[in-house]
Amino acid sequence: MPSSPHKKDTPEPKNTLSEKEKIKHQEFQNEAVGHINALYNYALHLTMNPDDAHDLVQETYLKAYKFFDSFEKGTNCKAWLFKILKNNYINKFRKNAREPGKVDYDLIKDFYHSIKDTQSDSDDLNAGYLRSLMHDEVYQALNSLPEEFKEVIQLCDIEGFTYEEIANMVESPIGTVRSRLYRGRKLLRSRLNEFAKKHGYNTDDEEAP
Amino acid sequence: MEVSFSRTRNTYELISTMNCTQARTLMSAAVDGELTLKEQEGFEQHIAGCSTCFSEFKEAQKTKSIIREKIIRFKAPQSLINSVLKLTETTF
Repeated sequence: MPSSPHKKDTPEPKNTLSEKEKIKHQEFQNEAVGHINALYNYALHLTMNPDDAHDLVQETYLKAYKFFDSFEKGTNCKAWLFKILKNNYINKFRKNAREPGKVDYDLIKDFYHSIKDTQSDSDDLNAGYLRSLMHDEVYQALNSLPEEFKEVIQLCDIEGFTYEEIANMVESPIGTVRSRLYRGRKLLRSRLNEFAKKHGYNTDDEEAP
Repeated sequence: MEVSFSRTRNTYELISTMNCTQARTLMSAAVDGELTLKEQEGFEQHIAGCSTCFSEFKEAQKTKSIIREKIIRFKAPQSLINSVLKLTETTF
């Protein structure tokens, strides 16, 4: 039977993206992939485990790409991605009744000490003796807070989201965000003080330069 | 009904005579620069005359500062970046 060697298969080859897909792909790369460091940090805070964080971020991007058409252009893509990650985290860990929060402090400590690249953008304020606390001590203090306080402090102080964005992410009114931040910071402060005292720092002279 | 009228008056009163409970409600927003101009004005006026709220405000500022300073930001591992780029390139 004669058959044309040039005859084209009807379905397009799998690797060829349509023009629409190409645009979507490009937009996604520009808008979303740039937030990968922030997402990874958030995932790390939630899971306390680098492997789980890796998987969580990967799944988040997969889902985000799938639903990228529903992302409202011009709104905060980072906040959108965080919300997807958070939902994913809840589904993945809470549904399986798995406890991701088993904190391996040695691991966290090693993690911190392996990276010397620290932030130093708080020279504007004299934080006194608390400056003497180590990264992992502050991390432990933060991590010891009830989830609803820890979450808003992370989103506000570490990730820099606005109250409106946080309210949207945690699905609570702005007033609740305000009050959680107020109570959370107070509680955190007392935990930090406990740490400082335990390690022999002088907590009476906090304003000293 | 005098709801809208009294609301305006309350806003005015908030500025001139904010009490400690009201100031505490605004405390975190004051630390984070999330107050409206009117709230900011009322809050500043209150802490200027209330040493308890003033020191609580300073404490909250320091706590935020400590978190920002001490919590280290990690870079996503290159393997993760690569796999995300690959996922979005080939999956669809």
